Amino acid sequence: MRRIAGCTLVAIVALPVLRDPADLRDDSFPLSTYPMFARARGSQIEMAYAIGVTAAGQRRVLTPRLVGSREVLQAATAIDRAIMTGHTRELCREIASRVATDASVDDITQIRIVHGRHDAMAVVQTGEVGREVDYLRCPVRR
Amino acid sequence: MITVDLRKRLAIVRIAVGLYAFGSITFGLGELVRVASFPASSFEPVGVVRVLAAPLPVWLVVAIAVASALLAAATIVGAAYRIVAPLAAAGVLWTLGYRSSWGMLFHTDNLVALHLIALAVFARPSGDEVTARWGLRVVVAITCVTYVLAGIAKVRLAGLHWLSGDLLRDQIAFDNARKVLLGESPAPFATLLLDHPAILVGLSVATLVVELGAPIALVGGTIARAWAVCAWCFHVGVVLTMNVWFPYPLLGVAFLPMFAVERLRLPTQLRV
Repeated sequence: MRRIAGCTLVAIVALPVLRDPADLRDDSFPLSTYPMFARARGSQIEMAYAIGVTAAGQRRVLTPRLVGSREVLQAATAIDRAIMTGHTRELCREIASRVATDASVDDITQIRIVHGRHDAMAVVQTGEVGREVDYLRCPVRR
Repeated sequence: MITVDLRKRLAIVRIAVGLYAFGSITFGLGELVRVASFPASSFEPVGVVRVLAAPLPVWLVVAIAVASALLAAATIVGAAYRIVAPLAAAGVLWTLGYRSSWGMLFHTDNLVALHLIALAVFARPSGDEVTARWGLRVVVAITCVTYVLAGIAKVRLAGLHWLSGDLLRDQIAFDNARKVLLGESPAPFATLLLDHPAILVGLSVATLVVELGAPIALVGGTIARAWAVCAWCFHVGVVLTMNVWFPYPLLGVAFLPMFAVERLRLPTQLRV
């Protein structure tokens, strides 16, 4: 009985080997194909995110907490979902209201939800950002 | 001849895993509340949470999480284990699954949920030596399978090109660039490694050796411990290069069954 229970449990954990790790919809919890570091990424990074803008027009990076989550990837997902479901304006206002009450970002006057395309190495090594196109802008009201 | 008290080793693994599950849910409660408050359109249930068509009210999510944390804490003591342990495993599976049902899978939670299920079956305080031996073997085998799956995913998606170091370089660059754009700092060694890509070839090979070589830990003894140390170093490397934390293996809990932890002294209140 012990052997059957043990072997069955281990076999169930191994079952994801039958799934395609390339198909992220096939990944699950706690039985996973572990695709997270396996996919080829390429040198470009393209994604949606939120940034702040000061009265002088300077770009300010927003922490995930200001977007609505402490987890960086969950914050990114929240932005993607808002864009996909047409709730970008609501999300922009929510971020603006958090920024309005946070003294550490009191120079930000505007929130931009953008789609950015960058050279990933340049972003990490020099902080150089590529092209950012607006989805939406909204003001920060204090 | 050295006799190994496997019942005590399994009991210590049970206590450590229970403690980890309790801490993981307790410290993650604030974040769970935050994600459970996301709009229903963000809800993407995974695993057992797929039975839900819509998110639960936040108060119910919190109530289940608190009950699961308390049940996990009860497994530490070992009282009424036959009833408490399966409930704790189910509660933790649900709570961690619910946390992963908002667009981001927390792969770091997989192993603790799986280990709790195995321990619910094998780690009864009244269990005999043979059951303890099997329990430890199953917990180690589950750990190994998860690492092998990660290695297989790399080989299936990238083939031997993974060994060139290019994919790891792009992965480190992508992951850190995403962090920078989303308001976090890059990992401490990210820039250094991107500046010296030759090191990445060695790290790519080492990663595959650790992952695909995980079954060697089933041999036990020094070989298993050596693999565990390599796997732990691999996770430290992931922190230093991508700032991605897998606390369960980093704290050593995932590898405890491979070490002679039975030499530790336990408080008498804890049932072995």
